[in-house]
Amino acid sequence: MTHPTDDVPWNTLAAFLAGELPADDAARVEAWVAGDPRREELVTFLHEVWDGSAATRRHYDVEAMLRRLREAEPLRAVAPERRFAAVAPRRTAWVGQALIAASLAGLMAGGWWITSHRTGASSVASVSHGAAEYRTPRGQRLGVRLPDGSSVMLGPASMLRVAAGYGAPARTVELEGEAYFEVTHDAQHPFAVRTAHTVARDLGTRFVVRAYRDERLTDVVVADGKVAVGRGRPGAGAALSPDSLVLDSGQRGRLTGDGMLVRASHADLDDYLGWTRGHLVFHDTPLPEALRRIGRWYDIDVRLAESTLAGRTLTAAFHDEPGAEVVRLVAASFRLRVERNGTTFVLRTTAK
Amino acid sequence: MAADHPPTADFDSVFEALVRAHYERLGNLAYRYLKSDAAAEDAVQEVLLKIWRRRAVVDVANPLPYLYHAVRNECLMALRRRQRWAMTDLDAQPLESEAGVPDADTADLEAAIARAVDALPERCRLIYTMHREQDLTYAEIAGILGISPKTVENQMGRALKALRERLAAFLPLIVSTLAASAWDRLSR
Repeated sequence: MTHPTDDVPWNTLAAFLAGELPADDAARVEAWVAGDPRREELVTFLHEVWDGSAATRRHYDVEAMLRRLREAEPLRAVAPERRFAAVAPRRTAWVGQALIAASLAGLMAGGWWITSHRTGASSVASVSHGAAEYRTPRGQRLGVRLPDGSSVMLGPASMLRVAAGYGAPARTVELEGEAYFEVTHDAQHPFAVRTAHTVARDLGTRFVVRAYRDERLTDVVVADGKVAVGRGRPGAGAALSPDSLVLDSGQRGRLTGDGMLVRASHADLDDYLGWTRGHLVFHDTPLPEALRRIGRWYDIDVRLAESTLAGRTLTAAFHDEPGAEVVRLVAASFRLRVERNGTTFVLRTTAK
Repeated sequence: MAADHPPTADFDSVFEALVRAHYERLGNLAYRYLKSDAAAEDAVQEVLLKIWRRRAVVDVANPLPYLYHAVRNECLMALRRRQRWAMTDLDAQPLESEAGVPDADTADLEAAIARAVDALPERCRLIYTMHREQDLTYAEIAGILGISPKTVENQMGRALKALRERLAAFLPLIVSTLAASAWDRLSR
């Protein structure tokens, strides 16, 4: 039996099904089809396949997407001048950087500095004069522009206090939590970051200070330039302790829980700087610490059911995964089970 | 090509129209790469937010080439991130539970069509799915890919022929179903 479709003009038939043929060409195809019942069978069949190929189409809710996009809108809509016009002492600035959605974090990564420079409408707050205090809740970040042009990106669950008289002559800020600094060097007005236990003095640079109260360690990591780090002493202001270290770019200074200052010559920069670009990066990070960081980032609470799990370390990079997905991935890599209750996640070993 | 666009009062409506016109097809494009609805929506959202934030509007008259390029890049980045993660623990469970689930009923024509489409040669599949799943015209496909409409026509014809061959086993089934319903009509 000869195949009825040996001489099928496939291109024309496809264009016919696609509605891409001019009317008179389409009429010719119809006549060709009607000329042989086997062709009719074939075209009926092809119609099924054609429609079936569109049946796998996914459907997405455009209204929901527009709502999500609009939720990002107020970030730009409020002019920084208005929001921070009267920077009063001990003023607390809660800035609604809707970074709960991790995918938005990715956007911040690319858009943060760019936004501030390019469009002038951004979430970057600027300190005019007087003292100011900025706080970020969990799950949010904030950019702060200091009067001297230096920039600070405040990590989640952090506080930055800019003292009154900033820049006259010293530029001293206090930090709890984590922040990334881009400092304009000015020898006449030394820049210093004080935390509960350390002082970091910039010598013209980009660096990160991580000093969360619930972590035993304080870390200072230098992306570029030089930073001096010393133990902070009550009443000593921004003065450095005699055992201070001068860190070069790529180095980390760490104040351990028992008060020792230790230098690491090659810090994993992504671990410390990744978050400023919206990445969460872990490299041999103790699991409990990693989970605390994940918790602060997504404003969730992740716990280990068994203390024996605390000895594990995590090496991973996350970018735009939602928080629940990150927890699931971490659990999967340690073969742990996830129990979720609202925003609380408990990881436990799988029952044998 | 993305161009900087001064903030204008009608940016919102232009942007909204853009999203309405192309969101579903971009989602379908991303789904082709990521095989997950949530990941596909995230990828498209990422691209749309970048446009939104920068107040950069793609050439409004012809936004598809830029949008397609951007979503495709976003998907490739997402896949790379997945891969990086997968390398950190080889025992990790598969990331996508939706993928790799065998069809319950292998005789199901729709599932067979989906498999046949997946089995098309890459370029052929790309063009065929741009038409069938992403609802683009020949001219739009040609514009996005920078090829001639004639090439699109050839690839579509090739896809149709390949699908016909791969799905040949289903032909008698469909024809007999049609014959049976014709017989029903006649005997009534």
